Amino acid sequence: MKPKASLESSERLGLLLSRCSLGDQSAFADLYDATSAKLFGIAFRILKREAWAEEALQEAYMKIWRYADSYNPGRGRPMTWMINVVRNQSLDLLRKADYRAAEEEWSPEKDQRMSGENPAAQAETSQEMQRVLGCLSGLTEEQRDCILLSYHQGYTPTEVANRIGRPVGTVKTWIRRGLIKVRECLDQ
Amino acid sequence: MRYDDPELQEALAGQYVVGALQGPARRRFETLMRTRPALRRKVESWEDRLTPLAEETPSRQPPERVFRALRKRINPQAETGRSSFWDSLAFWRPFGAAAAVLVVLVGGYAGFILSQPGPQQQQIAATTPEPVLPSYVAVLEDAGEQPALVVTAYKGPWRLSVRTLRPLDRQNAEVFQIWTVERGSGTVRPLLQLAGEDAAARPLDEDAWTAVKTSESLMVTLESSGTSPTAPSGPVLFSGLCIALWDDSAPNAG
Repeated sequence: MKPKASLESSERLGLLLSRCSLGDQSAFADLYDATSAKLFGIAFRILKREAWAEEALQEAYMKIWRYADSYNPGRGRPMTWMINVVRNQSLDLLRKADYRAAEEEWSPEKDQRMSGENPAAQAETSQEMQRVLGCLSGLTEEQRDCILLSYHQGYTPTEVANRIGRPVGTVKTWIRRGLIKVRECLDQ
Repeated sequence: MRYDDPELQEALAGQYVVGALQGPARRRFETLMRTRPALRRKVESWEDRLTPLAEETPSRQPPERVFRALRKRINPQAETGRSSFWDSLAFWRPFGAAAAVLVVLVGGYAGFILSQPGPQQQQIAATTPEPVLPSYVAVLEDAGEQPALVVTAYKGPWRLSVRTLRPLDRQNAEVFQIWTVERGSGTVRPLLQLAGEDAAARPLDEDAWTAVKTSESLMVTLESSGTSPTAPSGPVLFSGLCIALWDDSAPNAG
């Protein structure tokens, strides 16, 4: 069961989205205040450049504004919908520009929160996060790293293959098999 | 059909959400998702499964200029420039595809009337005294969902009309290649090339008409001029559903 605060937050965001779908600009401002820092963090993590993340964020919020009426509360929380709007926008921008920032090198080993090996950080994470991390920990190291590099950094299988020095076909197989295991684990 | 296999759908949906589908495969998947609710639902299930990972990403405060720009974009009164026809189309999008199609239909019809006929069009005009409404229409958008081209197909005789809605970037040695993407199989076929012109009209032979008629969507890539590619060599720049309007014999009509 989700914490009460989380439920209230989802209800509020859902209400703001409903008002956005009616053209309520003050609701849009409230929605932006409540969610933009989280969404900007996600865009920045994928794009690694402030200017690019700003562009992705702006386009993502335009989609949220235009398509607020297409959000279906029965199919997931408002934040899930908005996070995926900004993720897809960021990935599209990354693919379109065909550019990867060289700085801020990232590896799964450096990011302990994502490796699931930092108990202190895990204690602060949501139940859902811990569940996903638990399932990821059941994968082989290669499967987990490939999935996280794609998900968090926006790397294509070709780029992952170049980074870890393995054939792209192998990387694709690791991702595919890893996802099957994650689904089986999460859907139990 | 290949994309009707639930296991394949599941695998592709997961890879799409993770970000592991790349290039034309990612574009093709997005095109399919627009017309296949089952595929869309599988993607949503994967988003539900994996989004907790993204939610733990550290927050970062965006600069104020982002919201200022957004406020200007969503508030027409704050706009300094004139709003264009296609801005109006974007405004109507939330009210459904039908409204957009109607706008395109009227625009396409007017465009057909007003377009300057070339030699081939004069031949068409000679055999077709009355302009007719298009049988198929596709509004091709870029990755940011901004309309870039309108493609309309007419019958009696079969012909195709293409109009650009804004200047499109290309090198001199490149052309915009328009492709049909077949419903179900996803087979891609070349349809028409567009160089520097803002509008073009071409007669269609029976094979090309059938390709339009059986297409789920149209898409555009940049190709080297002077070539006749049989498959896209670069990323999809624009894509959009091919909507049947008046052709009663079309499987997707109505």
